[in-house]
Amino acid sequence: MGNYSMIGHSVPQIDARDKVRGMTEFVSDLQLPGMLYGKILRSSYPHARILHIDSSKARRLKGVKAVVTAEDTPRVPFGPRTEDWTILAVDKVRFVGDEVAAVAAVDEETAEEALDLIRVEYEELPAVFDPIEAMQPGAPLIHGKERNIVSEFQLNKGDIERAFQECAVVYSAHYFTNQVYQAYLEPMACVVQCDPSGRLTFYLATQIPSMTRITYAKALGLPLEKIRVVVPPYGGAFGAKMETNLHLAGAILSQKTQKPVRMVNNREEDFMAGNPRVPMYIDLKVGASQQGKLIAKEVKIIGASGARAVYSMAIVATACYRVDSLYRFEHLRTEGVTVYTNTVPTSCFRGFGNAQMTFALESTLDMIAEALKMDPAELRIKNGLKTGEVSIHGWQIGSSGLEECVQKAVEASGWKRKREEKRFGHGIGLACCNHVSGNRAFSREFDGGAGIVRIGREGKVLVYHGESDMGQGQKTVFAQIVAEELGVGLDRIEVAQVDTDLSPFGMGSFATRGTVFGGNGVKAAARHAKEQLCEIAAELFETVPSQLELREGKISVIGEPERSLSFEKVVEIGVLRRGGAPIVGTGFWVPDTVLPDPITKYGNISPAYPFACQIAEVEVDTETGHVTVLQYTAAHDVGKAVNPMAIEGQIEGGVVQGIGWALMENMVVEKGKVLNPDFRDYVMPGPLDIPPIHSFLVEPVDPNGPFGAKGIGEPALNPSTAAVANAIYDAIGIRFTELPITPEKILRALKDHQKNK
Amino acid sequence: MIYPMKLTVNDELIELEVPAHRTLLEVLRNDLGLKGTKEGCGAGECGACTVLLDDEPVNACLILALQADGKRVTTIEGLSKGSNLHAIQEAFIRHGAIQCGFCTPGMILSAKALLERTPNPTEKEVRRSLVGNFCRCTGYQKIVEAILSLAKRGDG
Amino acid sequence: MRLKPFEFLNPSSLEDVFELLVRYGNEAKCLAGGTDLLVQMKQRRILPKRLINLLPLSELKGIHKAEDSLRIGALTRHVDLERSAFLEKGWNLLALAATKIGSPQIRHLGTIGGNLCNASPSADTAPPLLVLHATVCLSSLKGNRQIPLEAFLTGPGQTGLREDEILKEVILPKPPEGSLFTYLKLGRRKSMDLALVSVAVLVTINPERKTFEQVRLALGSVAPTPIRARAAEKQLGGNLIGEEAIREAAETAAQECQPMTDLRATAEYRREMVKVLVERAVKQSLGFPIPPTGI
Repeated sequence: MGNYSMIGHSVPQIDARDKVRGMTEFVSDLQLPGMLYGKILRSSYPHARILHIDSSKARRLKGVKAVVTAEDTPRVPFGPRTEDWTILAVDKVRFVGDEVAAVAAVDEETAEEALDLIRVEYEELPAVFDPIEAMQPGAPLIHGKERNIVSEFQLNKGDIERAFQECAVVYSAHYFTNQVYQAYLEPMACVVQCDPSGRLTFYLATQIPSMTRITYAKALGLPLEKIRVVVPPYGGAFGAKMETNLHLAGAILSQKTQKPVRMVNNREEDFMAGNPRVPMYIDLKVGASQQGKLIAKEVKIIGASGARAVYSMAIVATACYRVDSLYRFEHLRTEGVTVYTNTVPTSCFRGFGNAQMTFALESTLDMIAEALKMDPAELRIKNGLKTGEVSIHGWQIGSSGLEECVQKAVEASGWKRKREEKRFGHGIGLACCNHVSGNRAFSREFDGGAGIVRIGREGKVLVYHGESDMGQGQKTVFAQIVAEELGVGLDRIEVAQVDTDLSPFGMGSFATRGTVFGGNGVKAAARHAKEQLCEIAAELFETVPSQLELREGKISVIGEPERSLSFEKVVEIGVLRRGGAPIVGTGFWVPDTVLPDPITKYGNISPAYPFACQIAEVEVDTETGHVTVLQYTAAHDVGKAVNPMAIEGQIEGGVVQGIGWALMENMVVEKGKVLNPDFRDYVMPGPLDIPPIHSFLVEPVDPNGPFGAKGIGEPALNPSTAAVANAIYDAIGIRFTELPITPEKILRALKDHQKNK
Repeated sequence: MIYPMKLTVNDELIELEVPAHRTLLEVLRNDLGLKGTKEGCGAGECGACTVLLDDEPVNACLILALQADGKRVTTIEGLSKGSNLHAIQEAFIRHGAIQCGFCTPGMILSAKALLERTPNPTEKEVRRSLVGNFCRCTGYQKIVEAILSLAKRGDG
Repeated sequence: MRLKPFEFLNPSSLEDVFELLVRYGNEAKCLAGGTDLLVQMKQRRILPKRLINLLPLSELKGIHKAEDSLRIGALTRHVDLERSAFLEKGWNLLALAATKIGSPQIRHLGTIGGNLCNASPSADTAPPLLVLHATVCLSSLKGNRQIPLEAFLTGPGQTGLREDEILKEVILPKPPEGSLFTYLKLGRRKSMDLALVSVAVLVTINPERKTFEQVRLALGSVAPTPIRARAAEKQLGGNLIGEEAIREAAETAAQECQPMTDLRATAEYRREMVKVLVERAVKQSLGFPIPPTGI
């Protein structure tokens, strides 16, 4: 392991000073000259034919600059995966919240008033809300697809029937993971500006700037070069902020008015037309040998995509098979179905399907451990993939700290002692997870990361990347990596906001890929810049570049500290000798991941696989059903930790989201309408609902990550629901298979349990 | 109808005219350009719009601007003097209490109100003081740590 | 969502308020802290043409102690209740309940008058006021009238306030000597929540005979208005203090409430929780240990 000046240091976010002073301009703070304010008229029906739209009154309202409907859009079907979107509803609406028309006005108030003046005549159509019902013959068809099926996933390996017969223990259960909302603090927002040539600049809160650009070009019928995407700071995303019609409605309004238009969801709209988590029914059966070797896994998943597929089919696929590379299963039968429903389109939320499945699998594993009279921790260690192994699907585990994670968490939480001290109502539970750092299957055409490092005459280092900092601190990690490579302090580094005119093409921030892909990209770019600096300095010192080192803001001949020049001096000399050209390093990184085979799914989807073990200790009030999480231990294999404080922050935030999901968070949807589209009734944990969280970083140096680093975003949440559910089981002996595990459910189960005794 | 009003914002007396239905939040953000005060829900549930009104924390989204007539408002912009940050701001930076930063201004103002009344708070008191400030990124832990680091131990 | 336009009326005296109320009737609404009213207006649930700003009226502010009673001005904020030195002994029950309302931000705006006039079945100040035998003073051009709080709260969002009246103050008689009391509130989380069930209890005991003397119980969120649990009170009053008796009274309370099912909880759960919370609240008021409960 190297002796680093930057890597491994807990440094605050590089833009923290702006953030604490309220100086950071978020997307919803942007104001351009002449800017108008847009609002969307949304359907109040879950499924209806649009007979007529009369917007004449709205158009006449003072201050209204444009009212647009589908007629004003290209009406080209598009979508990131399946082409089942249009910018505004054409002919029919498919969920409560569907975009019907949009208004631009001189202020938000006028725009809202105009919405009230638009008259839409609907003919209500029969609607279907549950994916199982939606698959039945005779169910109303939402997109004309047979049985409303978006896609099916199948994967079989080995001989499942025989394997189950040979297992000493088989446990099967039906799980349900509910629809939850990301609840980033800044609602979805954008500003779109159409210039006189017709070129559109989108200022977006998006995790995937370059891919959004491609999707929007298609939706708007424009060549790619007519679209520029800029990503200002934005207030959280957790998977939700990718493509959205909000942005495109803004584009249409801007085209129409030739003015910049700002669109910001209010919170209610964000609930009803955001991208909440894909709810899933999961039938899971797992078998193990008497010695606790996991042998067979059979799973059937039905996921509800809502009224647009978005990424739901990929999320269901992930739920189907990602955990197969956590433990050594040998026999698999897997079936996943993604189904349209007349509900808000569901999509990515921290965990991308793996979180749903981890709840089911890790709950199941505790039942198997119990049947085998085995310590649940031991069961995980025994079956967990280790460094150097290749999983059943071909995933090459370059590093695995799973075993150490389990050991650390067990030790720190007092696991053994607390398991033995049995007291009704008090329990401790454990769960593990694996994840990826980037997903090869997400974009078929390529995998990789890139960066540009530009050093101007004054020695300021400007880093360009194509990913997206949604608040997690990605920019700071990139700055640390570049500073490490160039041997300078962070004060010398600035990370440019993503701008598709300037930044490299990047896939963006999802799949826990930022640190590994973006990090490797900017690292390669910094190295390229460093090579140029060394060439310049070598000439000055009359030596060869390989004899030079960059440290502490100086470039020196190795072993001869007196022969050194400051970083900025070398830069200055170089830039002036090169006619003023800045030092520009460009670099890229292409991992040797393997796209999964379409049939067998055999491949290697990520360059680096993070692992984790979390332990929850709970107290169940057996009279009220309320669960208090007393202590929480989270041990995460993050590879080399670039910024331990930032990683702890990710873990703490992820765990709290997981505890919220486990115990209280739930979008209540009745006949397609979200009944709790606000923070009053969409309850999430507050500062009094969460325990102290003890984080432990396990740091095997990964062969592929930058400086050995892996990702952390999603694994922070993946195991939390199961850890809590397992602790509740330990406390009261009742297995809950549906999320969230509310006080009412607990109390009802306790009563049923007593009756049956 | 437009009504005249006065407001002392971050020590500066401002006279303005506003319609009755304008909230204090809208006046701060749109009329005065103080965009450090955020809108996260518009219903007093998230606390992103927290400002100090006569030194007390309130939801700017739930007050009509006219209700604040004649009062003193402190927004996040009024906390630091030039490049000198307030101790709470420094503590938030040092402890990694910031992720996306959207809740941060309101969170810091709530912390200020707490520490002014209770210079030596317990962890429970800190957590209780933040129940009206929602944060989805950090899980609150580092925020609580940052505020506790400022508690005046031993002299209270 | 943005507020719709309205006219803002700034009366300079109570008389002005009364005149405005007479002039505009139900077209005008009184604005106190605004924490409920403005949210309802943003959600378009009510769209008053005029708001009468009560905030500057000093007559409606402050807590005044008379010999045998406490008069709490309608504009007294929750935070003022929390901090008032007057709210001692039995009256402290009200301060205790005030700490459980929403957030500090809300408590710095919301007022006791607003909380009562909004008349939510879950209003946190109501159960304590019911057991403290509060009356409300309603005021109009015609003068003042006092009615018991219990009669004032008539249904969800409904009160005995006439169109030309405002709630001027809340009057609390002196609680019995040696009052023991507590307020328990169960939410879905430990802060920032509406009560699923809340219980206020105030008892006096005879330590020699080990009996309850006066017993007053009030319940929130389990009926169209906050209510007294009179059957349960009767069951305990004058009887020996004992766990069994408390449990039985708690069951009676659960039977006499009329909870509803909504998206926050089912009626069955609420009823069950009345039993648990009443038992715990009575025990806690007596100083018996109970598990950590609610907000």
